[in-house]
Amino acid sequence: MTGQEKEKNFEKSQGRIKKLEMKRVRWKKQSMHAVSKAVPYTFVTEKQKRLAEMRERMVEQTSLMNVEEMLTDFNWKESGNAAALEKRLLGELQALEAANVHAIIESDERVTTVVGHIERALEELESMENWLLLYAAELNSMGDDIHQIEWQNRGLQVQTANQRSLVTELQELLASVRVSDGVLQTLRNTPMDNVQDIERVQNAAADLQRVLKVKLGDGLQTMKAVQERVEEYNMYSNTFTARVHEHLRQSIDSQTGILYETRSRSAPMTTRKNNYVIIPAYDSLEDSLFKYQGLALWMKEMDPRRYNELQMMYAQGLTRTCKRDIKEVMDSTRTYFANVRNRSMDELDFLFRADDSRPVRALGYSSGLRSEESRANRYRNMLRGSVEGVIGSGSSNRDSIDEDERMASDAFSHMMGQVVSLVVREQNFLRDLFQLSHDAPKTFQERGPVLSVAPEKDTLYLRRDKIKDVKTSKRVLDLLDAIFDGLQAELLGFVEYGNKADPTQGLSMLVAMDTQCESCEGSDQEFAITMLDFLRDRLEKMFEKFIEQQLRAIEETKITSKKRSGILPFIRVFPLFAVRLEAAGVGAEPNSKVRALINSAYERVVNGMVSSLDAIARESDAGGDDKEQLNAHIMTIENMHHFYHELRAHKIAVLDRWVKHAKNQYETSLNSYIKVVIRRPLGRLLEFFEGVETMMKTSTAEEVSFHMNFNKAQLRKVIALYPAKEIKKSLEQLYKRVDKHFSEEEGLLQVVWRGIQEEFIRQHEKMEDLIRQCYPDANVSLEFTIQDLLAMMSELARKVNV
Amino acid sequence: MPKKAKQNLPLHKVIMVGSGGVGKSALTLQYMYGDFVEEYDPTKADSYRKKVVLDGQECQIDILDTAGQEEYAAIRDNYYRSGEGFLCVFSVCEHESFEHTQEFRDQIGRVLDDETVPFILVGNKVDLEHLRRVSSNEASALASEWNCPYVETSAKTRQNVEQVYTQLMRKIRERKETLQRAEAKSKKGKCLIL
Repeated sequence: MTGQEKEKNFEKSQGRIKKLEMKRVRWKKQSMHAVSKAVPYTFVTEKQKRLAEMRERMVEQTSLMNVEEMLTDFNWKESGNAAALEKRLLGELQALEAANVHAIIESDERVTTVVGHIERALEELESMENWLLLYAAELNSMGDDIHQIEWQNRGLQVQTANQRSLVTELQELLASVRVSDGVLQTLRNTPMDNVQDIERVQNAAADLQRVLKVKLGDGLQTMKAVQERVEEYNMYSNTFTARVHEHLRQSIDSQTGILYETRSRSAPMTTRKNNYVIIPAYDSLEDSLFKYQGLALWMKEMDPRRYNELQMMYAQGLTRTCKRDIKEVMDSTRTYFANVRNRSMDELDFLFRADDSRPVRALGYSSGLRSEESRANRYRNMLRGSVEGVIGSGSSNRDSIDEDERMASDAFSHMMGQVVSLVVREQNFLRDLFQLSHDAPKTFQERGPVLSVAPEKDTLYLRRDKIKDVKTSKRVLDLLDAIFDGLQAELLGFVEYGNKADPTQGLSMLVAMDTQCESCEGSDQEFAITMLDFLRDRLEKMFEKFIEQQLRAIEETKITSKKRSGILPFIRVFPLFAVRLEAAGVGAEPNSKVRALINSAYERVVNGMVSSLDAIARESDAGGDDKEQLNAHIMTIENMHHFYHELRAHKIAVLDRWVKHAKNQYETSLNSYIKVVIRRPLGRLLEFFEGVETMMKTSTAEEVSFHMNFNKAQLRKVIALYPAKEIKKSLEQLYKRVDKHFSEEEGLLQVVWRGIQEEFIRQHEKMEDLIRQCYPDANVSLEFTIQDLLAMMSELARKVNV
Repeated sequence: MPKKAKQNLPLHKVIMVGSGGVGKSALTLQYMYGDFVEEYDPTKADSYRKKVVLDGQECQIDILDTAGQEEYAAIRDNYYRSGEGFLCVFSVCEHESFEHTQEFRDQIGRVLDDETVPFILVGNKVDLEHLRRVSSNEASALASEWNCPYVETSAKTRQNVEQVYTQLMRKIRERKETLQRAEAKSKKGKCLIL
């Protein structure tokens, strides 16, 4: 039965009920009317009324006339009791009335008729009542019917409403698990090459995904219809995923291919200033792939395995281009190192050598240093300043060595900058494209708009914050490993190559690494950081090894020359070594590891030199019969003087401690030398007076002359050994000897001779003083006066300096 | 071999003379190393050598920096004899040091027995203008009396430092050339006689 039919029925029944109701009401009215007619009622016409009135008036008149008579009848006097009278009157009146009514009824025949009528009316009423009872019963049964009908009707209404909502529910359910054919069509066929199409495809995919993701409650999911539909759509989804995968695969493949072709064909880009090769940004690749960011997200969500495959494919696709571009930079950098490598290690005058056969370079001091000059320039100038010290030819050669070193280290630092920038950019783009970060959209539904080009490309060179998620960061590292496969080994090869040419290049390289490390510190660039740390570690080890070799060379230095004097080769080399290290490490921060490395190298090398110098000096004296140890002093004097002045000139602050040490050593040795050398001309005199001095420590001055060894006779004897003539001769001999001891190169003869003259005078004064103290009455004095001595010195000066 | 090479390079020997504390060492250090040392540490004697380019020609300068106070002047004889040119320094802030220059001048003349040796009178510390006690005129007058140049310097500001050494080296070089020519002439003459 349809709803409408039901409704009709319902309406019909309603109508019926109404009719019945109306009937009932009519019946009631009729019966009521009948009842009211049947009630006995005095019927008075107008005529009768008027007659009655007239009668009343007449009665009244008669009554008034008869009152007096009546009153007399009742024996009523005016002074009598009114109340009693009234009571008597009322009683009279009632009796009269009762008699009257009785008379009327008994006397009138019409009453019998009326009673007869009334009896008939009563009979009528009785029959009428029976009818009414019948009707009432009838109505009651009908009421029950109506009640049932009404109840049934309500049930019907609920049923209808339920059915209606069921229909809606079902319609909604069906709608929620349904996508339009247009959507499916789009997913199947719309190309994915431009932004609009991709946007359409993505929207369609989003629709499909929404359907697949719909959560139906209360076991609806298990509804067969729903399951069938979901299954169908899953199929569509899988097909679409496969299609996206294939499309992305092809795009990545072709774009990385195009990039490689383009890069291989194009001429290297170079900086305008130094002509260094630059690795360009891979803009076109980035732009052409970035529009697939949303689809990549689809893959991430729908097929993580193939999504990972795509990433790896992308990484591997880039490998050859990166390798090629890095090689280009490396090759161009290598040319700078070729110059460094082309010369032999022997040409590197800043290196220590055990067997130094190189021509000795006299070192000049650099001049014209200005504080406003940059540190780097200063050290370079110093090197050049030292170059000016090269005697004869070869200074231009020296110049070019410095320049070569500088160019090589600058080129290397540029290369590291390029490589690290490339790594940084590739990682940043990879993370953007494949949305590998914690704040990236988690689902395809949250995807951003499709962009025709990669956005904010400037920021791709910036270092980003660390990836908090361990899994993601591991994934990124894996991909970077794939892109830059073998890079670390190649850089290591390069570093070794450069170090082989010149071990001090390692320092410049370390500085370059430090600079790059610093730029990556604390960022997400784990690949770069790990690689740089590795290279840094290797470089530090290489440098350590180099310093050890240098120390060995210093230790093994042999003095080939028979003449055991002059500046030792390593003392000569050290300033150059220091200046070279400073130049190589010029970019190092004061607190950096590189700086510490350099400082510790100085420390070790200087210590090595000092102990080698001592050993050589001792050795040179041990061989001969000279017990004066003069050679040791001479070597220390000249070498420390040289060392002191050279380092003073180069102003390397960290070496200050050693500069002071050298100066002390120089001064101490100079004093010792003078004290020793003066014994040749004055030996026994000095011995005698030294004895006197010792005596004076235990005895008084007067007692000394009583000692057997120091009596006046002994004094005279010893003084007689040194007449002025003898002194003059031995002074000349001493001058010749000292002149032979000291090299022309250090120019110390005048300094030493001045010290000797001073010591002569000092000793003379001391001896005269002791004579005055200990032998006051002996009337003896040295056979030469200070004036004699000064005259001898002046004469000698004229004689030896012609 | 190296020695030989070195001997080929002209060496000009300069000697610093003057009273104690006038700035002989300060001038030398400024010229050599380009820095100024504030603290005063009396010198006994020290020798400095540096390679320089003089008028496009490489040469070496040897500076003997000597003590200002010496009990016996004769000690200086020997190194005066080894000198080829002299910078006689006084402090423009100390008149006594100016007066002492006469003694140094006399000794040099006596020891070398030559009035024509390259010699420059140097008035140092001109950066301390407010403490000046010796006027330029006074010093110039003395210089012209000695027939030598007078240069005012400041070891602190490097004013005229480079110039005064260069000027002296030029004089030394000229003098050496003159002597060589004279020697060559006399040799020639001798040969003729023989």
